[in-house]
Amino acid sequence: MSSELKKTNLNSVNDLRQATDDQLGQVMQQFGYEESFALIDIKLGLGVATVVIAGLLFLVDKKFTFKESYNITVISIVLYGFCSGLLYLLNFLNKNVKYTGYNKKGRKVTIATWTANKFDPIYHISVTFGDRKQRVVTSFEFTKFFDVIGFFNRDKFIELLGNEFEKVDKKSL
Amino acid sequence: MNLRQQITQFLTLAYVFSSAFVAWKTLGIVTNSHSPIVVVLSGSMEPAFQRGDILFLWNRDKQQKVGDIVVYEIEGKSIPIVHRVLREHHNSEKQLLLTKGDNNAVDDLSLYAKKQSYLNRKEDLIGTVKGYLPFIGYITILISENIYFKYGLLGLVGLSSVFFE
Repeated sequence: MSSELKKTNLNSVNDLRQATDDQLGQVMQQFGYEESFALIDIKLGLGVATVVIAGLLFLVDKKFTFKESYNITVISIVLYGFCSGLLYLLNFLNKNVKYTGYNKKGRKVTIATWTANKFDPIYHISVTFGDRKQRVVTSFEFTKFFDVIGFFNRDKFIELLGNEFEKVDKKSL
Repeated sequence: MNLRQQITQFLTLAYVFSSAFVAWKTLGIVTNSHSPIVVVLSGSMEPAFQRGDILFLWNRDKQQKVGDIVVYEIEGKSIPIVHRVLREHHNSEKQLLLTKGDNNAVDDLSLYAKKQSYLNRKEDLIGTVKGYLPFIGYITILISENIYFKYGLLGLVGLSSVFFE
């Protein structure tokens, strides 16, 4: 697949995390989960809304004087503040959430990932399974699923993640 | 490369501009002034303000007092002027002002528009000076008046984006 043929800069922890995050959708497909874009789309929608408001306000600012555009400016700023506030709240409540998905039985899975800082090449991942509140929190070194050139090894990553999932399933039984 | 990734990349870039612009407009609404931060361009208020000082304005005062330093704009001239209130006349509805630069020999009558012999506080004022930072604004004077500095700075910004991520 084409996405697997992309090289990642091994010297950038940030790039490595993003490259891995991008693979989560296909990885979780292997475990029978289908990605849900609801949260991402809401966040993108709010983001686009703030930019559109700012853009329109810029046009108004060019076209009219300060006194003429006073009221519309106040309204725009309030709307902008509301959208960014909502966006901030969503990001706060879903900190680091990179993936949401459901399997055929409707079981929800949420995955949050992060790296501690840009010098720590360790991928932290927290997987929460919906209603039963099962949670896997673990971390892998990037070297375990990136080769020396910078290609992502999906099979290896699936294997690593699968091992962790099995442990949880055993515990819950 | 899917659509969501493209929108995300576009937004990261757009936020830089949109948030700065909205912050500026918010400051303008709070202070009721279309440019709440100005840079002193002339030496007419020395020794109080030098060229390059940054002034913070507030335009929600009901009335000016003699001695206040105000920034005003004359119709048809786009450059704001920072001068001190020399005389004022007011009734309950409006206030008329005469201004003068501390470093100027005469008052501002000759600077006003034709047949205008006073400033109307409500119409002409951009704000009253409430605070200042010395000298920092000089960079904008350099950029607008010195072409070598302008392109030198542009070059440096370009170079820095090559060397630093």
